[in-house]
Amino acid sequence: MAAIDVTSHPRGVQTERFAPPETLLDVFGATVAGSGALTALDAHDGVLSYDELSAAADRVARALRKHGVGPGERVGVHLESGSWRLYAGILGVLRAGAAYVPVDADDPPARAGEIWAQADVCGVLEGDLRLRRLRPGRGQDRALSADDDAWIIFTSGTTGAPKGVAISHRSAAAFVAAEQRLWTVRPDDRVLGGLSVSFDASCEEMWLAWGTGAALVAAPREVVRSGADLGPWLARRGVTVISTVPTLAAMLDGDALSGVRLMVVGGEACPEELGWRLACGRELWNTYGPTEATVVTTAAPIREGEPVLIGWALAGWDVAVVDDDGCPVDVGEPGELVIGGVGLGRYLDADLDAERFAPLPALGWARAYRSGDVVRETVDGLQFVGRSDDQVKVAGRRLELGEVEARLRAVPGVRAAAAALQKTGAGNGVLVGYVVGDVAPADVRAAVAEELPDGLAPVVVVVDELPLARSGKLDRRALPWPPPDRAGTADPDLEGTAAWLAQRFIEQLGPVAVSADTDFFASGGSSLAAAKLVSVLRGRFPSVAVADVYEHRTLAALAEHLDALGEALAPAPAPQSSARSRWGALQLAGVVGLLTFTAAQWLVGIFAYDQWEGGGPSVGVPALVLGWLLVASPPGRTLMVVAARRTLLRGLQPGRYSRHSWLACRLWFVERLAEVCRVDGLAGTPWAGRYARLCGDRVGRGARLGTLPPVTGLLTVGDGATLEGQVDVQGWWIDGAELVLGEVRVGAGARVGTRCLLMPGADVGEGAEIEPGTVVDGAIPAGQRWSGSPARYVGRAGEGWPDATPARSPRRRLWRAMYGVGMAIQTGLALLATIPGFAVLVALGVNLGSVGSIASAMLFEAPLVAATFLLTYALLVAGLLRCTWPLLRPGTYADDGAVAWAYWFSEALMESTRVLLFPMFASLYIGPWLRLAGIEVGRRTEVSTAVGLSPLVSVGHTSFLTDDVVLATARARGGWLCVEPIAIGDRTFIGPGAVLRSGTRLGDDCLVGVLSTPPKCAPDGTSWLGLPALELPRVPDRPDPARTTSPPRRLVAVRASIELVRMLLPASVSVLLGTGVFLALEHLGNADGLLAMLLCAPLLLALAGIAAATLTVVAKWLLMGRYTALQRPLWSPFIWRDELINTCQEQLARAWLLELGLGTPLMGAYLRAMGAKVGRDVWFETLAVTEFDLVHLGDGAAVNRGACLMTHLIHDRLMRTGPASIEADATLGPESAVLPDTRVGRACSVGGRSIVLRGEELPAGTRWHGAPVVPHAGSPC
Amino acid sequence: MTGMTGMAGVAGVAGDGTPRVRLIDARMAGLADLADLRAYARAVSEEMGGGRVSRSYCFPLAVVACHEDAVGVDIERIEPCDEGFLESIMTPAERSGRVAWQARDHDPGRAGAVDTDSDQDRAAISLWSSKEALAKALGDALDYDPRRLDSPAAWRDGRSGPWRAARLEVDPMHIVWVCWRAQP
Repeated sequence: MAAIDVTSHPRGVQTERFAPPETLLDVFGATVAGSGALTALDAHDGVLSYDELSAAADRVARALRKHGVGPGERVGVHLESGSWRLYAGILGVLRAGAAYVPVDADDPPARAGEIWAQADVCGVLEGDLRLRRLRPGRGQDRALSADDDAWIIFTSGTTGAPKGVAISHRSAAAFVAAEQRLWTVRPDDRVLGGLSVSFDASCEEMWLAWGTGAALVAAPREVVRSGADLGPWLARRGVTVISTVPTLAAMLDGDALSGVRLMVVGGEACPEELGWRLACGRELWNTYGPTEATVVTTAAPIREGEPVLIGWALAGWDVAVVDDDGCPVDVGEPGELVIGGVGLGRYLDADLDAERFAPLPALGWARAYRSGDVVRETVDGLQFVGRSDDQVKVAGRRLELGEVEARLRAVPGVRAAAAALQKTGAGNGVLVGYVVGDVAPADVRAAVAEELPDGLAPVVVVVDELPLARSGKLDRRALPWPPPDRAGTADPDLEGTAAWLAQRFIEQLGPVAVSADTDFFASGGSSLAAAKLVSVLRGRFPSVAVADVYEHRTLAALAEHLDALGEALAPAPAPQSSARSRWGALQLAGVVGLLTFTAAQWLVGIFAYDQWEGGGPSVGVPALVLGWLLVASPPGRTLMVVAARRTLLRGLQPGRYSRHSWLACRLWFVERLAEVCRVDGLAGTPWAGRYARLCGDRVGRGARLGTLPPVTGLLTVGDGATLEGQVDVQGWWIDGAELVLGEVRVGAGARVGTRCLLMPGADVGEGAEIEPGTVVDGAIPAGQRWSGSPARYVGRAGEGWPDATPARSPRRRLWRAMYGVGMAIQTGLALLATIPGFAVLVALGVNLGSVGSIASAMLFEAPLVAATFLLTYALLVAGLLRCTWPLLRPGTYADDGAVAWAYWFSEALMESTRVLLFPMFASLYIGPWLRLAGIEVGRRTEVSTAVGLSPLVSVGHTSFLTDDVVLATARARGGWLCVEPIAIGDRTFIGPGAVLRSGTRLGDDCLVGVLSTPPKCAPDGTSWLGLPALELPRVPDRPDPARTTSPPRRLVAVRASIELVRMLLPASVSVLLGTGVFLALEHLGNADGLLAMLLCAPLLLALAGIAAATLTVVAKWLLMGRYTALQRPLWSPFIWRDELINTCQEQLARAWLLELGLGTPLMGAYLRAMGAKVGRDVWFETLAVTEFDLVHLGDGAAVNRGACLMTHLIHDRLMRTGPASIEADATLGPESAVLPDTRVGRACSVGGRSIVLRGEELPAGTRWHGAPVVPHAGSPC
Repeated sequence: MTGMTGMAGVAGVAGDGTPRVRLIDARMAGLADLADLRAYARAVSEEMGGGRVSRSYCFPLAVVACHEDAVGVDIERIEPCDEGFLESIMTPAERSGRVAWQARDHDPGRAGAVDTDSDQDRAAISLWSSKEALAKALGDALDYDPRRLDSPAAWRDGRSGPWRAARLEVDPMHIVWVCWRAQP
């Protein structure tokens, strides 16, 4: 489309040449001549007719000329608004021939000063029409020409600094004339002069009046600003013509405007509804134009019901709609409006002028002003689309602020609206809608959101009024940001996580003010809203829980917590694998070393036999005794371990080391050696402390050690402290690729309950009390009592204990000595139990003195020998226990008497039973044996390897005690021993690793979850999980009772047989293997001599070990094939086969090889052979695996000591199996457990004594601890 | 103030002391805002007698439950929920369908209803509300992560050991769950 041509103006062809007056003085002069007596100016301080006004102007002009003011010069005008002097002053400057530079008297002086400077005025008219001279006037001595400037008006640019626009008389006069062609102002009209004189629209006001002889009614500023007062004022003063901006017009209601017959609006876009309202009952014109093109460029009438347009160009103005390249666009297409013609002004700044008034080559215009406004041509005129800088990009979408404002205004209750794109502190743009009205932000937002494109709904802020610029136009930059308190946006100073979280808060809370200390709940968040918030937060921070929002209530605290939890980032790449194989090989060498040691023990035995039997190489009795002393006797074994510690672990320092290192190898070796040497026999005896000090550990006087210090030597135990049995104080673990090693301190007088885990860096304060099962990985303040995994404060230490120190027991020396007796009995018991086996052999005619005879016999009689041994042992132990029980009574005693001894002795016996008679547990035979031993256990109750069984424990019928349940009937502290019974009801299930404290009473039909510690009193039918246990009501499964609680006889018989096989077969094989080794060594000794025996012994043991492991593997594949995820009730052959395989693993694979191979590549090989999916370089330090095919271990995974891959659950007497996956580089901490259907993600770390619940998946790279696991924020310990 | 009678037939077991539950409507009680509603509910619970009390608010409604033993109540308005929300409050057992929590949740009259968005929202809110009520009855609700607490909606006959649960219909837009420990 070509530029709109004046000659093609649809309002009619201009036939006559349009010849506007030359200067404003011409205009004024014509009016004065024609209407001299009419009122020109009606101000509050004076009413002047045209003649009077002209005279006044003359006086001013004369005075100015005296100061050198003339054509070409500029004079500032800084006079009180609404006063006659203002207008006289302006006209006086014009009369003098200069340009006037107006600054509103209410503007800050600094602005005025800046403007005078920029405009280079020679003086300022102020106060009483006095000229304040700034410099000598340089007015030229000639007549005024049309090219001289009429006014210089400053607009604020986008950068904020004002820029001066000079308008010539030619442009100004053309403007006045062009407007007169559009509408008619009659001499009897009264025109409102309300706009600030520093804006060019005031010129329109003035010349609307002075160009036609109408009166200019000057309004004081206060009246204009107060919308309420303006109406009556208008009526009082009889105003009939108003030129104003829509924002001000909107404040006027119908009554105020009743006398107004002509209204001209301009300066900003006029909303349709407003326009139609204003158009009722009067002539209304919408004008458009920048200051740079002399006030108005285009105009169009507004009629009700018709679209509001900006119309066509004024006569003499040229307009064109162009695209970004400056080429005209097609009709109807939006484009930038470019203005040419007589109205163009000029910037004072020459560079700016050249830039903004550059030529438009496409249309051949020498000067063209690019308005920055986007318009579109329609049939009826130009339509204003918006400012090109009112088009914002929000969320990648272009959006017209005008459109947003229109939609906001359309919401019922909204009187006025504005939109702006504000920035947060982080620089993100946020679309904000400001509304005036009695509305709720949430409602406005919801209403607008439906109309706008997705995701572009503005945050709504309710304000009392919209800020207006001096011109009366909306001052978008003054829209408050950050918003006032009532509004619903985020503090822009928030950064990073906090800023993101603030938006999430707003999503849940609605548009409320959100700042760093906003409390989610105090701001109206319900617990449901918190749950929804957390659901969204988890997308970025997978470990967050609802409890975190309650714990970290303020935005800042929660953001900090989220950062600590860490985002779901890709985990770091795995460490190099080059070092791995080297250390693996070293470990295998270590295994051989350990085997050598075991072999030495074997050899001592064999030499002893040889000595007795008379055959084979003889070493002589002294050598034999020496040998025995060195490797087989308790002191000898202890010495070995001490020597190993002193040499290999000297100078051990806490720290984090690579797990592939010489240090790790040494540590592993000494640990295994200590286990092989079984040096903790003194634990729980009165000599434990002395023994520990002899070994070089830092143990205080009077400390009671139910657990001996670890080989690392990093444990410090204070005076009088009590360490109960089976506490894990090793002080190291494998965490990912690192070996974490640290000191463990137990302060003087402190008590650490049974089965606690003291992680590296644990520091139990003096006198503190740690309840059984607790995980400590930091400092416990003195005198406090802590419990749980993770540990938390539960009270003061010493509650429930006598205050005084205990009186010494009578006969304590006797009981002290009894410990020795007890140890001797334990050692001797196993040997004693072998005697009937030999007796059987002899009875069968075997010549024990002949190797060959033994050999042939064993092959057939091994089961018999095994059975005899087991039976004898079982009977002996039962008998001994029965003798011991009378000493064990509830009560509080000193720990140096009978009760303590009985407790220790019975527990030691039971422990050895759990090893030697392992298959008896969890079988049908355990019940009768327990009853034989004097422990009352109800009918049909399943008992696995529970610890602490005694007459103090009563168990109802049809209950279930699973593996490793701890029944801690006794607790010790400060020399006291407190014994209380434990009662377990009927049909109650106690999960693996659960710890029951002394005095616990569990009702019927209860369930205690894995690793949990139930409360001391659990009512019937309750379910508990955790440490400390929370009650979790559940729906129990109810499988067929015929397969769970009341099986038919046939099934009982099947089970009894399978379990008999289970008890005898692996043991028999073990016997056979032993015999095989014995025979081979004998043969070697006879054939090749002593040296051969010595050298080959380790090798033979290794072979035996491999054979044992292989047999286990074969047994697994034969009996079970592949494990799959399934469900079987308790009385199913599947379970009995499973147990059989497990027994083979314990009595063959572990006993012969894997005991030494824990933590070495042997474990990986074994697990793979058993069907597990195992990656490379896996650290596996446990044998608590059953359903192998369901186990997946990624490369570099670490499973620490005591941990359990619990791929089956057996509560409700229904076994359910499911896979467990430890992904690459993940860690399962000491004594932790993963349940079926779990996945521990890549590089994830699970701390000590923690449970990963069934079905849970831990995301990669996160850290967890606790029973059940919770995120572990903060740096790893 | 609206009273709510008739717990009988919900738990279906005679002889269990059921809690006394009252529904308060702020509009009918002339209460202007949440603070007033809370104060009023507190007064109502004191008036209802001794024992344990649980209150829940969803302005303008509030529910108060009183019982001799542990009790928990929760009221929620059915509102739109994100897709991920339901997943984020389910235990692994519920997610995998091992625990059938939803079957009992359907109104008998809407058997065979199409699973629309609002059904999803209703199911999610009901699930969450049931767990919230149970957690409140069990003690400190914060100790119980909904991902580790099976919904009482799955209990047979609304019982689990000594615990009872019931869902109450207030109006189509609200759900109320009550959980309590029955007297032995």
